[in-house]
Amino acid sequence: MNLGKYIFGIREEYILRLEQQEREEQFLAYNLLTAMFLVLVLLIFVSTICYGLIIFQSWLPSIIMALFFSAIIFVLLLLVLFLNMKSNYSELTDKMTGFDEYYESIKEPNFNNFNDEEALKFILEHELKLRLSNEKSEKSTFHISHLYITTIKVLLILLISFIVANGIEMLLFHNKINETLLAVRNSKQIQFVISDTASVALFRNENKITAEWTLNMLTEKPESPFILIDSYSFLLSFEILNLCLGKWKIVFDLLFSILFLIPFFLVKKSSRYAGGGYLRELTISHLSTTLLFRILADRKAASIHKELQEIDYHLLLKKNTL
Amino acid sequence: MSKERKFFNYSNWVFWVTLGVIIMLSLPHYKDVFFNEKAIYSWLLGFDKSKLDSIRLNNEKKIINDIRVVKWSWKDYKNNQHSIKFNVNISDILSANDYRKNYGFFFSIKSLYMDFIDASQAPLDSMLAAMQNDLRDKKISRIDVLNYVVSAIQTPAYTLINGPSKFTTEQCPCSKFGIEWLNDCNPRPDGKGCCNNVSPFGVFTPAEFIAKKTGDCDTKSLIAYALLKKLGFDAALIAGNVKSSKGYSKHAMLAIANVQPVIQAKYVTYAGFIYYPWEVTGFDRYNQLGNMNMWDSWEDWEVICN
Repeated sequence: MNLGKYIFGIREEYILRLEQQEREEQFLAYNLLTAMFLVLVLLIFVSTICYGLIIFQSWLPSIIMALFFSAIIFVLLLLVLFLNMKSNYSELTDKMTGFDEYYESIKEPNFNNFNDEEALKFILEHELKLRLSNEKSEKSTFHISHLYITTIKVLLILLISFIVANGIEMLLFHNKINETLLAVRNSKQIQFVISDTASVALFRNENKITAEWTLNMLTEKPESPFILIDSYSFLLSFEILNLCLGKWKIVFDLLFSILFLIPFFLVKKSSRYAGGGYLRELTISHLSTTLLFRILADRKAASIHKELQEIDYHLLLKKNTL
Repeated sequence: MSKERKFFNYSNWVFWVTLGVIIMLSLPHYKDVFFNEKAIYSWLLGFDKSKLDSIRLNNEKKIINDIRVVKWSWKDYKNNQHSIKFNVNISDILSANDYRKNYGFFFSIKSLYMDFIDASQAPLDSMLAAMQNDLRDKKISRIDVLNYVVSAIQTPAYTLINGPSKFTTEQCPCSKFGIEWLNDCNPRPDGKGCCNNVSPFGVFTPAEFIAKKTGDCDTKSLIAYALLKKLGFDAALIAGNVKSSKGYSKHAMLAIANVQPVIQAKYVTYAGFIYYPWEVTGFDRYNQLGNMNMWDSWEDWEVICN
C-alpha cells in the first residue's frame, strides 16, 4: 500500500525498481510519514474548529474557518517538509544542478545517428551506470546558512504547534473549563464589584468595568447559545485554561511540539528519506529523461541541418527570379 | 541495527507514543490530575473588596492614610502630548466628598463653589505643582500655559451630573439634550455616563474630579477656574442659558479676562473686566477661547466667581 501518493505524490514505479528489502523499507518510511502528516492535519482541523466554536459559537462558520486554515497550514507544513527532503546523493544532486557540465561529461558523438531503440538502450545503460556509481549516499556538507534556515523552519513549526496545542487543550478540558467559568460567573467577588453602585465609587472603577465585561462574556444570550466553551471570549477561556493547568500547560505544549517536530527532523536526518532509494531513483529518472530529450533534440537538429545542406540555393534563387 | 535505522525507529516510536499519551490524557480520570480549579481563586481575588480600584465610602468614615498616584495624560490644541503624575491622599478625597455630601443649605452658588475649592486644596495644589514642574521644563508662553491647563481639564470624558432626587425628578437613565444617558457614573468613551443624586447641587468638588476624572460643565469649569486663578490668570466661572438644536438649557463655562481670543467672541463684562467664555466640557480643537459657534444663542450670562 502506498499512502504517500495521496499526500506527497510518491510514485510507486520508482519504489518498485528497488530491491525487495529496500522497497519495503521505503514503502514503510513514506507510509509512516504520510500517517504522521495526516494526524497533524487532523489535529489542526480539530483545533481550528475549537477556536471557531469559541469565536463564532456556531458550527458552520467554524467548519469553514477550520477548512480554510487547515488547508493553509497543510500547504505550509508540506512546503517545510519538502524543503527538508533533499537527496543525500551528492553526485546526483550536482548533476541535477549543472546540466551543461553533465552533458559535456557524456562523450557520445553518434547521438545524431541514433534511432529510437538505440536512444532508449543508451538511456537504460546510462541509468544503470548512475545507479551503480551512486550506491552510497553522502551527508551534505554544513553551511552557516543552513543554521538560519533551519531555525526559521523550526520556529514556524513551533508556532503552529502551540496554536494547535491550545485548541486541542480547550477541547480536552472543555468540561472542566466550563465548570470553572461557572464558578467565576457565580463568584461573590464578581457579584460584589458589580453591585458596587458607581455613585459611591470615588476613583474611576476599572475593576467594575472588568467585572461587568467578565459577567457579560459568561452570560449566555438566547440568540447565540454556547456550544463548546461557555464563554464568548476566547482570551478569558484561555486565561482560565492557563491558570488551571499551570505548569502542566507547558508539558502539554511540549508534547504537541514533539508531534510537529518529529516528521520535520525525520525527513531531514533519517537516511530512509534523504539517503533513501526512492529519492535516488527519482533523481536518476529525472536525469535520464532530460538526457533522452537532449538526445532527441540533438538528433532532430542534426536532421534539419542535413536537410538545409542538401538544398541548392542557386537553383532556388533562379526559379524564384524567373 | 545501524545508527540511522535506530534514529528512524525511535523517532517513529516517540511520535506514536506521544500521540497515545495525548489521547490517554483526554480520558476523564486524568483531567482531574492536571486541571486545578482552585487556581482561579487567586485570580478572583483581583476583584476582591480589599483590592478594589474604587475607594468605597462607608458610614464609619474610615480614614485611609493611603497615597494614590494619579496619572494625567492629554493633548493640547497644537497636538503636543502632555503627561503628569502627582500624589493625592485618599483621605483628602474622602473628606472633600464628605464635605460636599454634608454641605446642607447654601445662600449663593458662589459661596458653594468657593467652599468646594477650599475643601479640595491639597489635591488641587498637588496637581498644580505637577503642572508647574512640567511647564518649567517645557518653557512655553503664557497663552500656551492657558491652553495647557484648559485642555487638561477638557480631555477627561464628560459625565452628566444630576442633583439630589428630592430636588430634581431628572435621574438617569434618561434622555436629555438628545442623548440617552446611562446610569453609569464612570467616565465612558461614548460620553453617555451619568451620576445621580449628587448633592447638594449636582456638582463634584475639584478633588472628586481629580479622583474620578470625569464631570459636567460646572464641575470642569470649577476646577479649571481654581487652577487658573492659582496660576495668576484673570479667570472666572460664568453661568447662563444656551440654546442649541436640542433646546434651551442652563450651562456653566470658564471665562478669561485680559487675553484676547483669536476669533470674534461674545463676552461678559464684570467689575471692569471683559470675560471671554471658554467651553471646557470636552476637548476639541474648536473648543478654544471665545468660540461659541456650538450654541445658537447665549442669554442671561453672568459671572458667578472671579
